[in-house]
Amino acid sequence: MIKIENVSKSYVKGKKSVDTLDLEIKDGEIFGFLGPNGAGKTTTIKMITGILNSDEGHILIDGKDIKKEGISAKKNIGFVPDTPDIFLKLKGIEYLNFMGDIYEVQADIRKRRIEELTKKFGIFDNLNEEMQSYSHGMRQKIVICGALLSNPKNWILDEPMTGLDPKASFDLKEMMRKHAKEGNCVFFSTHVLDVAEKLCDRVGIINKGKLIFVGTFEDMKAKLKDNGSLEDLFLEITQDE
Amino acid sequence: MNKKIFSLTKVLLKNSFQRYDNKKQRNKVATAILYIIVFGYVMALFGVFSFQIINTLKQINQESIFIGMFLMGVALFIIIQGMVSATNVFYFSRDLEYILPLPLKPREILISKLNVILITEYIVELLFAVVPIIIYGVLTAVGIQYYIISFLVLLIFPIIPLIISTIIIMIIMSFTKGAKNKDRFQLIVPILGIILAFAISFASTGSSDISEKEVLEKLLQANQMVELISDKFIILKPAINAIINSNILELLKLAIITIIGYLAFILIGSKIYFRGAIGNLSSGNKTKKKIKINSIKTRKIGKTYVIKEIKILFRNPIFFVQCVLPSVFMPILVLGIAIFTISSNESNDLQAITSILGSLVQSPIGMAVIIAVTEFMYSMLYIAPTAISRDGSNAIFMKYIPVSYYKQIIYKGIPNVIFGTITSIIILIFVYLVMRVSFVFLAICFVINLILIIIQTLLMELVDLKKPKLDWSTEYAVVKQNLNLLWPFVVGLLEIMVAFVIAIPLKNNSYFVFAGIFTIIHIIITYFINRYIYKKQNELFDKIM
Ligand SMILES: Nc1ncnc2c1ncn2[C@@H]1O[C@H](COP(=O)(O)OP(=O)(O)OP(=O)(O)O)[C@@H](O)[C@H]1O
Ligand SMILES: [Mg+2]
Repeated sequence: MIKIENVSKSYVKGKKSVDTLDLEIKDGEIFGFLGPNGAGKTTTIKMITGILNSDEGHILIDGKDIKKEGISAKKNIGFVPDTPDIFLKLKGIEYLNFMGDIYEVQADIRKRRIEELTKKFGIFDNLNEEMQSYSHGMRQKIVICGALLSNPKNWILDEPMTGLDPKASFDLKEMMRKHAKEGNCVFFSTHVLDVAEKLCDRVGIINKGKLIFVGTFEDMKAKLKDNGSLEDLFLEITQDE
Repeated sequence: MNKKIFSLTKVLLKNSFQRYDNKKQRNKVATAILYIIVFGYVMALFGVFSFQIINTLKQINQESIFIGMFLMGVALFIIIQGMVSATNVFYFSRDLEYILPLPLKPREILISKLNVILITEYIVELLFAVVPIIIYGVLTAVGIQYYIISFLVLLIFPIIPLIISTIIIMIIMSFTKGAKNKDRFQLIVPILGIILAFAISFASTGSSDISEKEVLEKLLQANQMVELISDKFIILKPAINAIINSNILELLKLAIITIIGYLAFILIGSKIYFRGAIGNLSSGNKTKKKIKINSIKTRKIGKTYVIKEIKILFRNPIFFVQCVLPSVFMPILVLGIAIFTISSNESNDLQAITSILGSLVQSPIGMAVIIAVTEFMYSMLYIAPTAISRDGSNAIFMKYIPVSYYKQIIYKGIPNVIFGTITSIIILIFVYLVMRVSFVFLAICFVINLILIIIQTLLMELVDLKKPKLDWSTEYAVVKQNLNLLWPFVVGLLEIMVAFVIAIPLKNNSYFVFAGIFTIIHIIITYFINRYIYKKQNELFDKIM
């Protein structure tokens, strides 16, 4: 469960990149976070994962405050950043094993999960190579594998589909569904409305730091009809693709 | 030179001297002042050195020997330096993928790249070669044509040595397919250079008993070597004669040989360079070794973190050469030469000297000297001051994993402490070999050095956290033009001062007294730094986002 209570953040004084955001993602739910470029999606996600400190408000991960009980909150988060910048000089297997050590995944579970995840994404045979030789998509895949290795309760993914081929994208969506069905929480940002429509239980739309809509995709469509500005925004997001 | 070559050279040059224009003016001024001081120092050093040699040689009217040795030195230096530059400019600059699609002839690319190295060499010449030439001119009171011809020789002379080293690198690259394991290859050249420098200084130290007669003998011997080599190395003779006799004909000879060499280079170069370099672009050489999933080992968080740090440091040649190598190799180099010099004395003297030195050094002042030497070496260890910056945009990783920032600061510092301790051990081994000090003394020095490297490490990590350089695309940006790297020097100097400030008033006491006071002060300092880091750990990571 992710609870965001009246959170604000400004990088520059007087300009709030995220403005009193209030949001709760329940267990068993897939939540899609939509918004045009520069809307504040990454900023929100960085605050949830503890990379950024919020100026105001609280963020609770399974009831634990990310600021006050950071370590135990972070243990329950699997995070995929928007750019797959990783330790390129490590081999794929070294990276995954390192993540296993950091998140204290037991040896036998770790072996099984690594094999499972990497085979699913088709990078198992590349595990013995330095990640420098990986393509963009392969890097994205290994970061996802690393984040999901410890099977954390809360998945937080910043535009996880970019760079993935259709099959990997499909597999990831399947994994997200399965994870939510098992009573966990998935929060991800995206530009692709199609993905949001088919995958998400609920979506949130953020623009200029302000959350302007939360609800199911159907609600959103209904609301679009009688709300001109939301429709404009909708078009703006769709045009990205 | 045609226009394309000119503009390509310009672009490549800019690229290889990457400036960060967004830096503050103040920083630029500070850097400029630093460079001026260092350059001035080096130039003065070479000036004094040449002055003494020329003066000595003048006593037997053999001053012209100097020019031969000087030019050979220049050639040798350029060959070594040329190999390093050629590897970087021709193979590891990663610009070929942008240049190749442009409508340029292979020859034009080749010439532009050579130009870049040549310009670097001219800067080097400006540093090392101009002052000696002027001093020679002044001391031998020659006419204006000496200076003109010398200037022309300095312009033409480096080309052939440079071509030689470039061709050598090209051949090595095309045969060993160095591109395949280019990381390891990049290490070879600097290490070779260091070994060569080591060998040369060994060969040239010999006896340290400096009577003028012997120096003269040595110089004459060196001259014989020059003559021997100049028979083989065809540009040396004309260059020497052109300068000594202000002989235009010899200068022409030098020019003609150089032109022939240049043409040959273009011919050979365009054959072997592009073959090797294009292979370099597809760096993903796939060694399909299947992994055995069962060979996975689990480790404790701290251990796995430190191992990760060290792996990345070692696998990244730029970081390794710049951050680790100097502080490990320098003591071996400097102290090795010192030992060699001492031990090449007659053995009777040696023992006397050893015992005298031994009793001298086992004192507060002696300990302060050892601390000074160690601190000096520590200040070349750049693991801690780049601990955060080396991660680049991936530094946010530290913030989302469930490991406390304080622990990560400690883990990231451990490699610095390890390599600092290796440096310290090397120094202490030398101290033991030369001065036969007691083991108690060595043990105390070891402990003090250990505390010092811990303080240095923590402080340097703080420096890096305060001003991390995360936004880089090539590793050079982290180690070059990073003003944070001045801080190890500053702290080193401060520590040296502190050591002497404590040691001098205590100079008649036993070294135990000094060690006790020094250690207690530093343990207290360590405690407060550590407490500061622990309390402020969250704020310290604010810059990383
Ligand atoms: N490091 C920073 N310093 C200053 N301003 C920033 C910084 N990072 C983001 N911003 C500003 O905060 C706002 C929100 O940016 P954010 O990265 O959260 O957008 P986003 O919704 O993730 O966009 P995108 O779809 O492009 O990923 C933008 O106006 C951006 O200019
Ligand atoms: Mg974003």
